Amino acid sequence: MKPSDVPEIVERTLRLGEVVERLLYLDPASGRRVELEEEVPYYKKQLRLVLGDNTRIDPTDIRDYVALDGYQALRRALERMKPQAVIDAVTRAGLRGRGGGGFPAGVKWNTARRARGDRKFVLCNADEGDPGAFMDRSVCEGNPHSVIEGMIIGAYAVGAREGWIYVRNEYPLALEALALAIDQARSCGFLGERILGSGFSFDIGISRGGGAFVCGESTALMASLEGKPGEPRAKYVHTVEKGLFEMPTVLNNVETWANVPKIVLRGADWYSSIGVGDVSENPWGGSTGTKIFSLVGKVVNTGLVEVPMGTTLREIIFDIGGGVPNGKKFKAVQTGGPSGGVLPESLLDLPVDFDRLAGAGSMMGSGGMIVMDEDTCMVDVARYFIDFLKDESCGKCLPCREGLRALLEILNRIVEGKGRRGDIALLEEIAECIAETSLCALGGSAPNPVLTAIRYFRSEVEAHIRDKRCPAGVCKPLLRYRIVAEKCTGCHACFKPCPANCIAGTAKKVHVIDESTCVKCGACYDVCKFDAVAR
Amino acid sequence: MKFTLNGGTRQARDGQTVLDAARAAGVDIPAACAHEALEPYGACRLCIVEVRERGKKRWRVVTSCLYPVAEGLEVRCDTRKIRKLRAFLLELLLARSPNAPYVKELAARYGVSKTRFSRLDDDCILCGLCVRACAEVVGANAIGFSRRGIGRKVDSPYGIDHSKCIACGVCTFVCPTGAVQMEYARVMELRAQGGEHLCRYTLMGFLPDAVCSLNYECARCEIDQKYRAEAGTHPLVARALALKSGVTGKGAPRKKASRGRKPAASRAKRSSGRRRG
Ligand SMILES: Cc1cc2nc3c(=O)[nH]c(=O)nc-3n(C[C@H](O)[C@H](O)[C@H](O)COP(=O)(O)O)c2cc1C
Ligand code: SF4
Ligand code: SF4
Ligand code: FES
Repeated sequence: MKPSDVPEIVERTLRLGEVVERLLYLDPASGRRVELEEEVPYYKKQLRLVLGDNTRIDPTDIRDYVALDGYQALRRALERMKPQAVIDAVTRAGLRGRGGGGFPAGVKWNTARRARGDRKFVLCNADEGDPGAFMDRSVCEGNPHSVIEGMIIGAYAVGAREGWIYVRNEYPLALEALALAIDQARSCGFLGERILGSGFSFDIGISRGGGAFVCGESTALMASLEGKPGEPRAKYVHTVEKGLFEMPTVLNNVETWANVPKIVLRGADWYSSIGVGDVSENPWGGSTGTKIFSLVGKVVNTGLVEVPMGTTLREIIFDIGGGVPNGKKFKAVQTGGPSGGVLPESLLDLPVDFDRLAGAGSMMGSGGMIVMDEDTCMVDVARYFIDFLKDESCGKCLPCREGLRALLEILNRIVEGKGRRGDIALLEEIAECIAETSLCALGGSAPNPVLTAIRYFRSEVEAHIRDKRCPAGVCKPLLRYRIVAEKCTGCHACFKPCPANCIAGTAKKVHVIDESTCVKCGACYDVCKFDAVAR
Repeated sequence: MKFTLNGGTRQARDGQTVLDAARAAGVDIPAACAHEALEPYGACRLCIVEVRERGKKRWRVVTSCLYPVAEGLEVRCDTRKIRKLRAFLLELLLARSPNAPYVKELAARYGVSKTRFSRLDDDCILCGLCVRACAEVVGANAIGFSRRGIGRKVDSPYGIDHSKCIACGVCTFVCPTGAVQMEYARVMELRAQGGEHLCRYTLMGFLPDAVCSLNYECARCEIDQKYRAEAGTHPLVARALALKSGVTGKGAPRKKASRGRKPAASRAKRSSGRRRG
């Protein structure tokens, strides 16, 4: 829509109540125009419990949030529920941590409530370090009060008086929105001394992140909050018992907190009816509620997608995401951020929940979802993520620091065509050692991209090592461009695009590529209409 | 408290780590980043063992220097799994520091003499003993880590600022590979500056205001010889150990130790002001 369309909208829609057909959303999949937002395939299968209000409220004005039942859950908790009842509701709802581990929030809170300490803390993890992920950012910027209300309820439940939100420094808008929201909540009596006239007092501060991916890890985050370097430390005594300043600490992710008011207001049964599995006896028994995914990569509709847990990958990528663009074939999807795994086409019908993803060698992580098409090389992808993780590892522990270097070394030689027999087994051996012995979950999960590439795309890895061939045509050192004489019509189309001037041939004669000067750019391959260029 | 170690029943004190309890029982576990005068750290991962908590089915791989003994805990130090993982860790370590005799000997002790990975030729194994000793034993915080991942290294602030260093030499003393250069760099700096400097044993809090008369040629100084000989180890390490063992009960040692550390650090501040002035 452009400003020049406005007169027509005013004239026809506002005055005459007509629909301006040409401005309607055009569904690229069906080629049809769609009238209602709910009918747009992108939204139809979504259930926007957490994100839904983002479009309806002004995050800078607390009255908008309050008008939509905001802080009603807090009132209910303070006036009608004992702290233990709040914990039980969250446990029965089956709410599991949205930041990565999927640990049941109610169980965590219960331990914190029982733990002894002079002070207790509740923390919100808004560090969101996964490249390409922005769900937490969107909630903090668009609906900061939902996070704050969740934290106040959590603090009431565990008996904490102090809360901190640890926000990624690269999110100035989120910082601003949260700071303003906290001020407004305080002046309305939702934060501070004797909240809503009860005996419960609690306040929240904001802390800027240390700027590294690893700072999102729970113990590193707490070290950073204490003013120490953001490095993980071992936690055989859990942070729920000894966390920030050695005191009982509850850390939950932005999205986890934002779900809490809904649960308190609408009940555990309502919440647990969304999603999969049975959490009535065992909080690990299923995955309930919704999850926000950041759908990116080779997919028609990119963006934030919120769906009930248990929605299949196919529904997310094809029904909501609109499939792979440019008529390309789907090849894989990586879930869970840089240390998640790559899942192949055969797993498209996998319901997305904590346990199924883990079982498939990947993870929920914080909800990253990168779609890859047939032009993607899985060895190259694994190499890319290991390269990222190698730089993001804090470097404290030996297996993560040196092991990722070793993994990268092997992957590099494979994509360069110098792979050796036994390299796959060696990769697996390094991966096992890193995963088993690393200090924190960064190392613990870092081998996933490599292990899943081997598990699901083994023949592609083998082709690189044994045949010195990259089937997807990505790894340059392994590519050889030649012209197949029988197919070449001598149309001369490839002659000009070649930047290295290494194609010889005149019209109607078979052309030839001088491989010694070929720079492997693939221009001839793309331009040939007769499939005469082979690689 | 009772626990089992490689099948045999053993006693441990409340709050003791598996590493300490195993060593007390005469069982050898390699531990490159642990030091009895310092807080456990968990960086080298060589001290891994398998444990099974009471009532649990699964065995878990944990680092013994950090894992607290609990009643009924079962510990296995020498399983095939542990040997395999440890050998692999040593192979990675050997790739990092192939020329450090300490690393070569340690690896050889567990049957590792070759590495399949490219060598880095860095003698620093990043065990952090120096950094932690400077912080915990000295209280000077003159060195720390800079950079992340494989680029991590021991450094003074901004790579050039040595002013917090009191030249006590604890870092050099605890470093297993001789990689840390801080004491040497600081001593050379002080010598080059010339003029009057406080004796490092004053800065460490052992000796009332004494001025160095040998231009920091500590090796020729009888004060230096005396304190080293008396302590049988680095005097600051001896002091830290005494503080640790002098207090019983959980939580208490840390507090005491930090009180004990104060003199050195605050003196460092005073003296650096005086040196400049
Ligand atoms: C390397 C690493 C990075 C992490 N980054 C984040 C992050 O950016 N945001 C987040 O919420 N959790 C992150 N986590 C997970 C946290 O450690 C922690 O489990 C989580 O914040 C707990 O909240 P939850 O139970 O609500 O998920 C990270 C974990 C690791 C190992
Ligand atoms: S010599 Fe300097 S750097 Fe080394 S431990 Fe002593 S004060 Fe710290
Ligand atoms: S310099 Fe020595 S003591 Fe310091 S981290 Fe390196 S190896 Fe350890
Ligand atoms: S001694 Fe335990 S990790 Fe280094």
